[in-house]
Amino acid sequence: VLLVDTDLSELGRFSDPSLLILASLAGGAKHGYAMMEDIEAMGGVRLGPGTLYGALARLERRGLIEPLAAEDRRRPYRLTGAGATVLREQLRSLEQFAATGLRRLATI
Amino acid sequence: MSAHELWLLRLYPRQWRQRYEEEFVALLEGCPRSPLVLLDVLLGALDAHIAPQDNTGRILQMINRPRWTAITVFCAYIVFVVAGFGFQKMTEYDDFVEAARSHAAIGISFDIVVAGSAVALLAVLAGGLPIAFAALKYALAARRWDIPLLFLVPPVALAVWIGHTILLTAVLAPAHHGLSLHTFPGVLLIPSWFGVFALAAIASTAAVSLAIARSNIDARVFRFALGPATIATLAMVTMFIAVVVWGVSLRADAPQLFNGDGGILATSTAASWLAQVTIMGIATAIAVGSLVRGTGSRAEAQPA
Repeated sequence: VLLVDTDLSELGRFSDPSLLILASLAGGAKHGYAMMEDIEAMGGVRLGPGTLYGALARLERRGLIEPLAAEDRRRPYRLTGAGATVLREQLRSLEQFAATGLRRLATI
Repeated sequence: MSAHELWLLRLYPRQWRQRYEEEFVALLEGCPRSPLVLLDVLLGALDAHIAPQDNTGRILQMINRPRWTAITVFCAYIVFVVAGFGFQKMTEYDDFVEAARSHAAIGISFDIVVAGSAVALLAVLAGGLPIAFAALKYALAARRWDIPLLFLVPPVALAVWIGHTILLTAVLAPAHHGLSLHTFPGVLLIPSWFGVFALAAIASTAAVSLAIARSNIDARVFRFALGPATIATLAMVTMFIAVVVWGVSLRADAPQLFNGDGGILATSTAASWLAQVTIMGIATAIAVGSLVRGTGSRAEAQPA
């Protein structure tokens, strides 16, 4: 039974890494190391291996990502349909938040 | 990977490693080494223990709970028996027998301990023998020879203890014209008798528990064992209360005995009694706690 939920906040300290992983996988399936590199390039954040796999395990359990066949010990993961929905909602809410913040800043 | 990095990986739960270890190692091999990375891996291990990674793990945990309840109650029972053995040795002296005859509270509480020990033993056998047979059946079918070997530990440990007893009573005691706690070598040899008994009990309990943990046994056998385990635990609770009453009554009715040196190895009776009560109390609390969790999981598993 997979837990599918559109809210990432209950992932606690893994909610930010989870969002970064989902955003990274939106660009195509990747294994752990490629995700770390991509996230660093995209967001300027380097996730530690323990943090990355803590978040990956949670996302997999929730059915937001799925593992593909391993390639020479490295296992790529890809975004599921549910994962894409969650990522879209999260980014839209961030977009609204950013837009509101920028509007307020413009009045200063 | 270095030895300490491999050691860090072993901190992760077995189920987590079965699922992620290979790819995680591949990732670590590509990562630059730094104390922060190692700390992150360490925190990841802690997280993996605190938050099990998949539902299968939780379901397996629930299914295995009666197994661990049976093993825990068995271990607690053996600890209780070791303390009870000390109580029995302490109370077999004439002064204590006379006190039990003369004072009703001491006598009745002692009789309750004797009856309780018989009930607990029968319950442990009723619940434990089907588990032992199921484990041996599995071992034969799966050709797991380590399991029968583990079951051989209790008879071997018993033989060692009996051999040690014979050595003390038939060889060493006559050679030294009797053994006393107040002279050498009795001061070493008599405590060794209790020490060998305790070691034999620990080795036997650990071996049997390991054999059961390693065996693939039908969950129904463990669920059946919860009934006898409940009876054994109730007997332990009753005996624990009876031993407390026995000591309190002895203090009130025969203070010279309670304050004397009639305890284990000629130590203070009060201190021996207190040590026995403490060990029995801890063992009983562990058995009760495990049983509450185990029967709770049985209620969860049954359809409404």
